[in-house]
Amino acid sequence: MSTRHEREPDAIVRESNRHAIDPERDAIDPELDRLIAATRAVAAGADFTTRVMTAVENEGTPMFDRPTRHALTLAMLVAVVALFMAERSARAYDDTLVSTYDESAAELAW
Amino acid sequence: MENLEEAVEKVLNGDSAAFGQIVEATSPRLVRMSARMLGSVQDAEDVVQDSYVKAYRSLQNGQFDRRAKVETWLYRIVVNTTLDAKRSKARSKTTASDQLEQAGGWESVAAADARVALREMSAWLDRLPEEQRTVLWLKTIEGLESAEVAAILGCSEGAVEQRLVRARAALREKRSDGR
Repeated sequence: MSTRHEREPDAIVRESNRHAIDPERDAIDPELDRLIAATRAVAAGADFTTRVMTAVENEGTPMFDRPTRHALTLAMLVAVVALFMAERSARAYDDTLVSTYDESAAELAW
Repeated sequence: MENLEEAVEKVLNGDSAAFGQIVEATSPRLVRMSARMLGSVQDAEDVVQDSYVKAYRSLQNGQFDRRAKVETWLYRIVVNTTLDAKRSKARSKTTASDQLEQAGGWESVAAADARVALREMSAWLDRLPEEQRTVLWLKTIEGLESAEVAAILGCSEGAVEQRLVRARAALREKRSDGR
């Protein structure tokens, strides 16, 4: 036959330690112990988890999950860098064209 | 609890249904804890539901940094939300759920007894200043270790012990005054 100690060793040790290291406990606790015991059976309604999950879903699930969000952020960064590089190379090309034009114009002027 | 960490990992990877496992595993204790402070199961359910929504939002926004255990983190959210609810309840005096419960919204005699005990428990805790009440609530009533209470409240273990000693002294004094 299993005893209470065999079933819940940690809980028993923890409870007995709490009493042992707390010498002031007896002074105020009879009333408190009664209230703790009387409220031990208090529980949420049977559909509480469903209710919470409905609230969580109504709260607004993000359009993308976290890995997708990370991938999108990375893609945006890459796009920004690519735009920057394109802009720079376009400017460099413009500068080259302008300098070529200047050189050609100078040659024609001679 | 190891499963909670795994469930959080799943939620972070887009499996929102895994959040239901977290709720299933933690809600009995959290609702009872909140009900003991608020004196009402219905108010506690509302508070704990709000807390889960906050927790879910934090997970989605990457605000849970995993320095604390999942359970401790949830406790912290529920404790803060319960204390906020307690303050606003104190301001408004009577809530809709009080009226509903007074009107016989509970189904059995055992539940009615528990409801009375919850109200007594809440009134019992109300005799203390909030700081002491919270420590007594978490440590003596919920049976958490000092280190856990310190992590939830964001203070040192020494501060927890000190507040507990003060709470006990205050209760002894009130008790002897009452005789």
